[in-house]
Amino acid sequence: MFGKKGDIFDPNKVLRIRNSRKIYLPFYVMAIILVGILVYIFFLGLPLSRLGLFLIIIFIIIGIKITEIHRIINLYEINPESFVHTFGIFGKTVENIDFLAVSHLEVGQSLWQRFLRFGDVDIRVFGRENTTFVRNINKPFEFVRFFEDRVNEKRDGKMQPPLTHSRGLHITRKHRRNKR
Amino acid sequence: MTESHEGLTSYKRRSKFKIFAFIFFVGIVVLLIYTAFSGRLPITGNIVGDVIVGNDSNLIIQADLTVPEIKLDGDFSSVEIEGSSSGFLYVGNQKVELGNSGRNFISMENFDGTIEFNTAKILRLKGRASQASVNGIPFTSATNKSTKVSFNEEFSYNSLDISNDVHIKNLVYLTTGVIRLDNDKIVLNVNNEEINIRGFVGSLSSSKDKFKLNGVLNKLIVEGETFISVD
Repeated sequence: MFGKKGDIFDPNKVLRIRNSRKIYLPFYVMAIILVGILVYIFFLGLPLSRLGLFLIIIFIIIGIKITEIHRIINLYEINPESFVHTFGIFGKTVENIDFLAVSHLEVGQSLWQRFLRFGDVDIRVFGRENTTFVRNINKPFEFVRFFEDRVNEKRDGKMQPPLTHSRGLHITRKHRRNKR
Repeated sequence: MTESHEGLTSYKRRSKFKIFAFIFFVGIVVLLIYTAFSGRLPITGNIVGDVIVGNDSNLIIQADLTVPEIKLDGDFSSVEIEGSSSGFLYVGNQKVELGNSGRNFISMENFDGTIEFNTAKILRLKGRASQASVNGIPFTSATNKSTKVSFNEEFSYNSLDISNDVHIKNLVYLTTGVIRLDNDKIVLNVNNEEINIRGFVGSLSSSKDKFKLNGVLNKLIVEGETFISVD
């Protein structure tokens, strides 16, 4: 899985990741249903409402715009030194978390997220109050393993013993609903 | 994303947006299904569709009325149109210019599709025909099968004749004219009264405020100064 050509979890590269498009699946399904109805009406030669056609076009165009804009709001980056969360499109908020400050990682997946293989990761810096949420990313467990490897590499570089799951950096798998 | 970003307000806003998107989606689906299967919305005109023919209670009708705004869907053995337009008639891949002649005569055989018209214009014509001719020049598809036929814009017509198999499920409009039933056994003079024609099957012609029906129907209701129902 790791280190493969074209793999986003390549340890030799900086990982940049955004929200998964899978969270917009309900919208895509709705758009496909509308287009399907449109094709069905067209092939049966039934009367097609111009207003309906106009609304479908509006629904799809605005839907795609909103989902894509929503997606590019968050950028998560893991570089050799730290985790960086950039939030915003025009005005940006950049949060930089040094790997040495991270104490706990928590993966949350609802049933829907487990089914589609995406989820949330909570990055804690010495306590629940100081949590950075990484929402709706693909392959959250691979993300956490990659994160953990980078943390270990940095800590090894400081001549500290390598971390395991039971020492230093704690990784918890938790159902999403339990977090709220 | 920090706790402040992921607040309850943001969560509620996203939920509202999802609910709005879903309601919008359901609204579009209902609109499409309603307009496709039940005819048009009441604000846009009359309701037409399929009817069951062969009923013993069918009445023979010849009517000479004013032209309604109507939309017809079906398979008609012959459609003949005379009129003018600055647009085009598409026959398969061919684009026939209609603006060259001030008066065009268009004939189509075995037309299967939609014709929507009012007193002066054919608002929409779209379907397939086995053969189409414009001013006597035939246009057929290379494969000898039925070919797509449509106007690119509204067509101002002088006369429109649709022969056989015109089905009108329910036509309600305010009109003036004469309706003859059962070979002149019943003659109704309608003067700006609302008529309701149900289950009509036959031929239809329309020209300059004259809307002629020739066929059979299941029921006729005239609502004016007096209420008349024939079935």
